[in-house]
Amino acid sequence: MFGDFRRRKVDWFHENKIDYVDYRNERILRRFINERGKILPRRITGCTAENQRKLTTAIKRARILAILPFESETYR
Amino acid sequence: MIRIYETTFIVNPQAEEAVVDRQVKDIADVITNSGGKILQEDRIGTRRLAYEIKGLSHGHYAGFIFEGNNELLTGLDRFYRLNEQYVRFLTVIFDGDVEKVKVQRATDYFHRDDDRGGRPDRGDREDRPRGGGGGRGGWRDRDDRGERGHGGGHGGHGGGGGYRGGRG
Repeated sequence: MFGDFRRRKVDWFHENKIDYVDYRNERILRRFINERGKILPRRITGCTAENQRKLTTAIKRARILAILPFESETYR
Repeated sequence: MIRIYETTFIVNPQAEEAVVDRQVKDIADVITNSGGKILQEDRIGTRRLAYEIKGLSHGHYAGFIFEGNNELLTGLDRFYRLNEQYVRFLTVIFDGDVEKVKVQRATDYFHRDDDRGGRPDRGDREDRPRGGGGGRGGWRDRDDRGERGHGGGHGGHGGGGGYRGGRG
C-alpha cells in the first residue's frame, strides 16, 4: 500500500516540547480521536508509549467533563 | 498526605453571574476551610458541551489547583454531590508543574466559546488516510474490528445462547 516509502512517525508532543498533556485542551486532543470519537492507536498518532498513555488518560478525562464526546455519529 | 490536586466542575451558565460566582467561591471555601491551599483559580468560561448533561447543552467551566489531603477530597466530593447545581465535576492528582501549565494554558487554550475553527492544521497527521470527507470507516476501522474479531470469534456466531450453554 505504501510501497517502499513509509513516512517517519513523529510524536507531536515531543515535537512541540509538551510534557503535560492537558485534558482541558480540546483543540489538541481533537487531533487524536477519529470521527467516531475513538482514540487513535499509536501506529497512527506516532506518539511514544509514554505520551500515548498520557494522551489516553487525558482524552478519558476530557470525556467525563464533556469536552470530548464519548461517541459521535458525525464529526462536528 | 499532602498532594496537589486539580478540580474542574461545570455549573449551569443560564444562572445569573452572581450565582455562578457564588458557586465557584463555595468550592474555594470548601477547600480552604478544610485546610487546603489554593494555588490557582481557573475561570474557563462558558462553552458547548460535547453531549447533553441534565438537559444542558452549554456549561460554565471553572476549576482550582490546590494543595490538600485525603479528608479534604472526601469533603469536596460530598459537597459536589449534595449540591445539584454542580452538573459535572472531576478531581484529579495534578502531576504537572503549576507554573509551566499556567503558561501552556495561557498560550493555547479553548477559552473562546465554541471554537468552530474546524479541525486543527493537518500537518502532523501526514500518515493518516487522506480520503477527504468520505473517509469515515476507512481501513483503520476495519483494522480495529479485525483485531477484536479474533477474541470474540468463538462466541460470535453462536450468539447469546451459545455463551450460556458453554457455562452450564
